[in-house]
Amino acid sequence: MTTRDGSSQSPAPAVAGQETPPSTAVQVRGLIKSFGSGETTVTVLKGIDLDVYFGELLLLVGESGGGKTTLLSAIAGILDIDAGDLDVRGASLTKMSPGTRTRFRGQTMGFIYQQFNLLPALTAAENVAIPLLIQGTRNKAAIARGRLMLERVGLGDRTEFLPRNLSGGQQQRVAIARALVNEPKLLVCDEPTAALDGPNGQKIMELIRDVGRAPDRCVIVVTHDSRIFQFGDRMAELTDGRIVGIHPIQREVTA
Amino acid sequence: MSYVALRMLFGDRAKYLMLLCGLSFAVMLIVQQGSIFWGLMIWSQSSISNLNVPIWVTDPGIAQVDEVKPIADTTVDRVRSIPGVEWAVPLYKGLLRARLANGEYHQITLTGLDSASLIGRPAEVLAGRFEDLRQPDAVALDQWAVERMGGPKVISVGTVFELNDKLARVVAIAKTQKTFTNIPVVYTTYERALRYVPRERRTLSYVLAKAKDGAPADEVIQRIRDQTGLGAFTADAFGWKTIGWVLKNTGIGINFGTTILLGFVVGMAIAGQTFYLFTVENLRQFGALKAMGASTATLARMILLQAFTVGITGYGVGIGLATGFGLLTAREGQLPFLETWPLLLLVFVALLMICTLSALISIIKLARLEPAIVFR
Repeated sequence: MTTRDGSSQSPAPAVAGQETPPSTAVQVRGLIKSFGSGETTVTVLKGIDLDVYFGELLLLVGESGGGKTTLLSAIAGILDIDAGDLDVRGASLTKMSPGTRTRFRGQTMGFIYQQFNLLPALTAAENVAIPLLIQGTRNKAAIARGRLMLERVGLGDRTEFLPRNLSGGQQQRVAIARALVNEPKLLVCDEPTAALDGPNGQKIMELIRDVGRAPDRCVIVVTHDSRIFQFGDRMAELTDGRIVGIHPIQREVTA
Repeated sequence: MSYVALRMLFGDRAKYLMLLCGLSFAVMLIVQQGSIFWGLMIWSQSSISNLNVPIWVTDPGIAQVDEVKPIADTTVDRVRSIPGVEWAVPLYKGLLRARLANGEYHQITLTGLDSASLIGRPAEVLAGRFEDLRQPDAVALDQWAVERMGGPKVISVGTVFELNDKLARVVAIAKTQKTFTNIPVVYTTYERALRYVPRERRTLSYVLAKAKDGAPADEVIQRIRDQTGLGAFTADAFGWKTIGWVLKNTGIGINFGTTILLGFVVGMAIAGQTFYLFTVENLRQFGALKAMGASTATLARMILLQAFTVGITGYGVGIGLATGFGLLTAREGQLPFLETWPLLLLVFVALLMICTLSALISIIKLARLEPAIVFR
């Protein structure tokens, strides 16, 4: 498939219950990002073109240092880019002022990190409530909503636990609940299973797929963990700052 | 997000306590040193405040209250004749040695008051009657004299001792504020004081006066200066003159000032650095909040709330500790310690400034922080 500017893309994935082709949630064109200056300049992203569609779970894979996390940061609007265009739900991140982009991020995106990044002083429910508190929701309402989200990720009995009293898998579940509490349209996940053992990683990906994926939302997961490739709809492979291939993922069909 | 800011602050108890300890210690250091310094300064002019009279007439070249420069005995009448003066009385003040019955000698400050009015007498009498000073050989002591001269078992009301080989009988013990030199004060009448001391050409130390009701004290003082050629001061002005002399001539000002300044700088540096480190250690958490859509303004409000919360708490604890120190060590006036509201206000303002400054440094760091830090 060739996009309007000629970049190579794999076919848009079929989303269950959706007859018409899915619309584009994220569109990346000619994205370039370098770090350092002068002789020490390192160009990490060398002209990335990428479309991500609503309803799909896209895996960004590739070798270490290939630019996966940098691309994810750029798509999430938390890293300034040097050149190129970046549209999320039709809004150009590159044309937004930093303040507008911050607000846009808070209203549109959810984040799941490798290291969870839970606030250690806050209970699980309070941690989940943070995106709502940032948007101005009152404490009680936000925390009540946080408790409901925790029930959805199977932690209804751990709402008042501090992060240090939760296992790694449970902490990542709290992070997933936090990422989803404000109903984001784009869920960005950076190595969500890297700090977890195999079975826990599988459970977390099941949760991201089951709870996180939705027809009006797309999920981008950066990972190098081949054991979770089966959870993606498509896989974009980055090598040396370039996308070298985008493939649909064939799932094993079990009887 | 105030809720989150406060939970972040209080949630990590170890960090919070470290921060609170730093700030409290800084405040305590400054307030304690400042209060001791100010207590010392107040003691340096106790000879003025203990007499509680509004106007002091002195030698024109007077530097401070304890450096007596005698003036002509006729000055009392000259001051009394000045328009606007309600009354004027003589005061003798000089050093002498007292010999107790046990043979011990003690240097004392002899204070001779006007026998008719006893103007300048201490307000509070702990034992005996001050009016009995009019009896033969009668003297009164302040409580520090009792303490310095051996305690109540050695000297009390009724005790007899010698001043310059002349008999002195204690009729009263008064409560006064300790003086800078802590030399025992012996009160007697002006005429009897002159009998105790060796004969000099001039014996009048000061004239104590009061302006008539409705007559501005400043105008009356200026009139006294103009018509007598002497020095004349309100008690406050004379007190400040004495404090100024002590600061300039004793080295206390430089030594204590340096200590206070160092305490201030060190204390505030501790406070600022501790808070800054607190923010830096939470940088990743702030980065996560920024990634989730918290604006720099929101984070700035959180930082300022944290800074002022811990600052005000530290201020309260520091003041409490300093006051506790004052109550324990300066009990009964044993050590100079005087907490004054200007000092507390100054420390409060300084603390708010340092909290604001350290918060601003943290905010600048946060403003420059790329939220992408959370993905590293």
